[in-house]
Amino acid sequence: MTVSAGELVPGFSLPPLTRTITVEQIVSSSRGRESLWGLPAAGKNIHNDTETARSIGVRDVVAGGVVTMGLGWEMLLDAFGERWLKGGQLSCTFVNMVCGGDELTVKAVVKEPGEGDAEGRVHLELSIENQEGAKVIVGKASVAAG
Amino acid sequence: MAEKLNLEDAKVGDAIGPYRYRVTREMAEFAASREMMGTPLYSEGSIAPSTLTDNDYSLAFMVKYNPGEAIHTKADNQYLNPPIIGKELIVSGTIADRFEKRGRDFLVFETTTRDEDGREIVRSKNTVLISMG
Repeated sequence: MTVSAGELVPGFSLPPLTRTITVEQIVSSSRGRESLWGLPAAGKNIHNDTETARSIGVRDVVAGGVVTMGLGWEMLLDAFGERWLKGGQLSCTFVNMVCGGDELTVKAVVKEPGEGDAEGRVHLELSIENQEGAKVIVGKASVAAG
Repeated sequence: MAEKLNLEDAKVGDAIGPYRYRVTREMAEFAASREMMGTPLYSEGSIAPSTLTDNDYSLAFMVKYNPGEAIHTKADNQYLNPPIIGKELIVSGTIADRFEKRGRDFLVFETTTRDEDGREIVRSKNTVLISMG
């Protein structure tokens, strides 16, 4: 669903995107990266082993930040299409861990351009929250205005 | 081949990379499934999700350094062109900053990924925590 230029006024919210991230996705992300890029296999760690993850006090394996960030990227691709693929900018700070089984919701709201924001672009505040409403990513995005 | 350096030895201004890899359909499908995208864009088309490149900074870093234990704390990506399946990508950059905050040690990497035709794919700035202090 590509958003029309006329909708992109400050305060406009993109349709939120909700996904549940599974243990299998997190583990296969960690292992797939090693095998596809020919990297040395990592030992047990919080991304591929539930017991190791539990040893640091979390419920299950922990998703790498880029796995979670990818949900934001997908939402912005849905909204902006080719404009996002060729010139989209996404800045994310990882503020909480994401575990297997978490339900994540991406939200993005068009904001007024602030100091330092490039002209001729649409600027958004972006967040990803878990099922408890805790933010796991806070960030911003921008894309050419059209 | 020179012995690799450790994370703790990283210095501001050090070049990282180049790291080269060829984009395969398996990589494209991996990136799409990792982020749970079901779009046919990636199962039938010739382009891969740009998120395929989101760990490129660490690939470039590992050319010269042992990976060690690090926690990714911030990512800033400018997606300029989508990667094309079959093309080789080349990642290079620098260690742009190293700073301490509340007794913790952070590294900042600035990298650019280009394809074999010189097309810019992504410019990135990533921050990792390398010591809990």
